[in-house]
Amino acid sequence: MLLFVAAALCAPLLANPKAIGAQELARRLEPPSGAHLLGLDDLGRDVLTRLLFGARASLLAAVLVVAVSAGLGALVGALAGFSGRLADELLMRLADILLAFPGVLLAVAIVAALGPGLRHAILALCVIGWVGYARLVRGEVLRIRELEFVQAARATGAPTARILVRHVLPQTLGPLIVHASIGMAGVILAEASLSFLGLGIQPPSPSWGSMLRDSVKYLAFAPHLALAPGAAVAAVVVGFNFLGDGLRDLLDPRAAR
Amino acid sequence: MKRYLLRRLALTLPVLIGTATLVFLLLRLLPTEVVIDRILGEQAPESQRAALRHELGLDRPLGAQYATYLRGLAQGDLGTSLEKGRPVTGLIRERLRATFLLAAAAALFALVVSLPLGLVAARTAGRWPDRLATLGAVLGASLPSFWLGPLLILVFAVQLDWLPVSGMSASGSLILPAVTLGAGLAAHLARMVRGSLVEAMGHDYGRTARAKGLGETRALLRHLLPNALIPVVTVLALQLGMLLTGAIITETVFAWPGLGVLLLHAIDFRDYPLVQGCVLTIALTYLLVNLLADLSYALLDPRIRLS
Repeated sequence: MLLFVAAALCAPLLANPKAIGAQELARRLEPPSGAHLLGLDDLGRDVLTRLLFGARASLLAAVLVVAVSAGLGALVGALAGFSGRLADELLMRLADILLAFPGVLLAVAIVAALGPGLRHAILALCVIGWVGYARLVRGEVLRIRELEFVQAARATGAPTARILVRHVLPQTLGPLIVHASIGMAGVILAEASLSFLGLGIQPPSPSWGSMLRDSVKYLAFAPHLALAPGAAVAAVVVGFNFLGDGLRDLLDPRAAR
Repeated sequence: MKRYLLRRLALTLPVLIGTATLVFLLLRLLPTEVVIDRILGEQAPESQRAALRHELGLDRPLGAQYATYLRGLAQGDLGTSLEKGRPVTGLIRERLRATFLLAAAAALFALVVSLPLGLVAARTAGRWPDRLATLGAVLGASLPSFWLGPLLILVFAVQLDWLPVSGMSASGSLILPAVTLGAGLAAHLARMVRGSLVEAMGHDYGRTARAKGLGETRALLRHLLPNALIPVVTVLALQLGMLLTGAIITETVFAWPGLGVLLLHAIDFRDYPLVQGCVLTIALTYLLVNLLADLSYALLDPRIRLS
């Protein structure tokens, strides 16, 4: 996972950005060699370079989606948990409807409506992503608001917004961080899935999903095209899942018990 | 049980209507003229644009469009495909069987693999077979289907030539897609079977079975497994809906002629009525499968309907 983040951040240092689209058509589908460690694709482009810059796109999408989803979800969850019953009912019924809709399908439908591309894929993933964070934060807020220090803050006349921001929300950061790190894995997988279906990052920009999609046609004589991007996705997903598990043991004492 | 059933149905109905409304609104996210541009191109003459606007009902107020949409849903009319000129309902019906067949085969694969794997892991808890089974489960859950599918094609279809690469017509063509779709679920269920069995072993009836002199395996199979299966069956039933949506990717990998491939084709051709019909069908089927799963869970475990 650290390798993924490092590769994504240092991609321009590790590989020439101009090489992303540079084609050597005479050597297309060439297997791995000293000059091209992961071989060349169907248009003679260096697979390693595209893998590194694809990592940048995946990391960007994951960070953006998780940041927006967590932020929006925390706000909605805090409002639902701290406000009156009506606000809670309305917000949570909206969350129920979105949760009742299969996530991948909703993302596909949003991108189908708006058109393919990274921006719309990020928007679609934010729309399906905030609900989990909202429910998590709402549950925590319902528990925290009954604690004495919150009652004391209320008794001193502090406004609701101040109580939420200064006293309640900081207490939800632990579970939120755990959920976010596991969420990174989900977003990377979802973005790769959308790109695989042709709905995410559009060619010629590199993405792991579209690299896998293009590799299927050449499995019989260029299997190296499928191995690298697939292994990258699997390794990063496993890494973020393990990170989330570790953070949960560290930050959430109830789960550790 | 009847009260639980009625309450569950009453809760499901607004969600069904909400889902149908969400699908209706999703495909009206863009302004009408942008939709027309997408389908006909920006240079299309105004007469053609007006005809398409009328065909899609986009020349009427949103409320009237929604009323027509709901009326059509109630009558099973999902509109007409722009590309094929045929009723969307008929096109979907032709593909539903293939998708259901794939999902059912994936579920069966998941059950057949997860039960013995979970049993072995529970029986040898803490030892190397357990660790190996757990590692297998983690890998199975982490491998994306759009990578597992091509890997399986490479090994079993290309290198070994045991199974067909794609399609539905050749014999054995269901195997690789079912394994691809069911692998993640098999991994998840295996871990659940292991966890449930280990927990059951700690209960009094588990200890009594072994104290009576029953062998470990017999105690597992005859006493512990039936009780441990309740949460497993629940998870399997609840995941059936996810298999339907996961089938979108698996069908693409294997050119399996199901609803997922039809949906992606409709998106490519900007066939909005067909996109709407496919999304709605998958979403409503997912909801109904989850409802049936909830009801079967209540049948299996009386604590649920009494709570």
